[in-house]
Amino acid sequence: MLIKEMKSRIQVLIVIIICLCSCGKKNLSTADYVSWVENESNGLSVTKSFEDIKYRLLYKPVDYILAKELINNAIEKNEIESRKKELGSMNYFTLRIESTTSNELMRVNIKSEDEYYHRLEYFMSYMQDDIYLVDGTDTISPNLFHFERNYGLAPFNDFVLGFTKASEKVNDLYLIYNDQVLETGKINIKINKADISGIPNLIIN
Amino acid sequence: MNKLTVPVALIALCISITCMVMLFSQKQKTVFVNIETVYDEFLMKKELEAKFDNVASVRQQILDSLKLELTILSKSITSKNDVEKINAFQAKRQAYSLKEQNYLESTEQTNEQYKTQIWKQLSQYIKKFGSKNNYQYILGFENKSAVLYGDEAEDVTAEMSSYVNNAYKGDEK
Repeated sequence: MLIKEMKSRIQVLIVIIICLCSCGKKNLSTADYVSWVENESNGLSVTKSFEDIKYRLLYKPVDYILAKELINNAIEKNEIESRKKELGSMNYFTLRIESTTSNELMRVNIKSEDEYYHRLEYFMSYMQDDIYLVDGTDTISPNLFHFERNYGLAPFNDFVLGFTKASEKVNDLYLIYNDQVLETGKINIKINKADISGIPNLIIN
Repeated sequence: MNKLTVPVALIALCISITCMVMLFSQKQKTVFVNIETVYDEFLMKKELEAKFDNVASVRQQILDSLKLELTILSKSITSKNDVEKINAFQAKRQAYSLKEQNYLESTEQTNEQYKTQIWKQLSQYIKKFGSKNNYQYILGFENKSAVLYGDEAEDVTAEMSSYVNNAYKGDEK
């Protein structure tokens, strides 16, 4: 009888240990961490495609930015903590807008050269007024907006965005872009809070 | 030998039933939707419609107040010798016509622009809805046309409406 009870207790203990191990966050090296974040199946990179335009939103945890900076030797290991503090209070994203029909996003469906320059001016200056982030019950405008121009070398353009965190609580994040030039209208892209909570730990050797 | 026959036959029967169920569930279906309802219930369409109505109402207010000014001015003209007032009236009337024309053109343009945006998104979400549910065809009909009869079970208007709205909000990936 006692042996039977012991056996069942051990079984329960094993199940608990397995559960705890599977629930714990993974530890990843810099290169693996970057790949994990960029892997669409992990939910931090979300794509919305239309006929000729594709939007891809990448949520960039602070550790992701650090990992990339370490890989590129942009910072030293002793600078990590101060850099982390510097970056810590914001949610960072890269919004990539890509043309699926043209070699240059800036030239998709334009009818004149004027329209090209109008689009360029819009991306550089006014687009930031059409972007906001819904974080819980707060709607936030970007504190950081940077248009990465590539002079037609790729069919996409990247927009680096940063929003002050509404709170320390992790919420579902909705990026809203009210497009004015690409004929897609308002775009809503969601990053699930479960995916943000499940981000692995970055291990720096 | 005889002892084995019955269990083997039973197992074979179970396997064949499972295969049939799997085949049936995987078979591509043809369904139909009331596309007018899906369009009318589409959140993006509702949002743009509200925005459009708002702009139209502000423009109408501006035109109405200009019209009122014109009426007051016209009533204040008592004789042909009132040249100053007549000139002011004519200038104002011209400005009114110009504004009315501008608004009309702009309204048409905005309407077209919004329709393009709505269909660009809606058609994409409909495609995704179809492929996600493994439909072979989705027949779209409007209130008084096309599908003369369809089993109600194949009408997926409500499901599609819900899917496209979730996809628009970003809740459906």
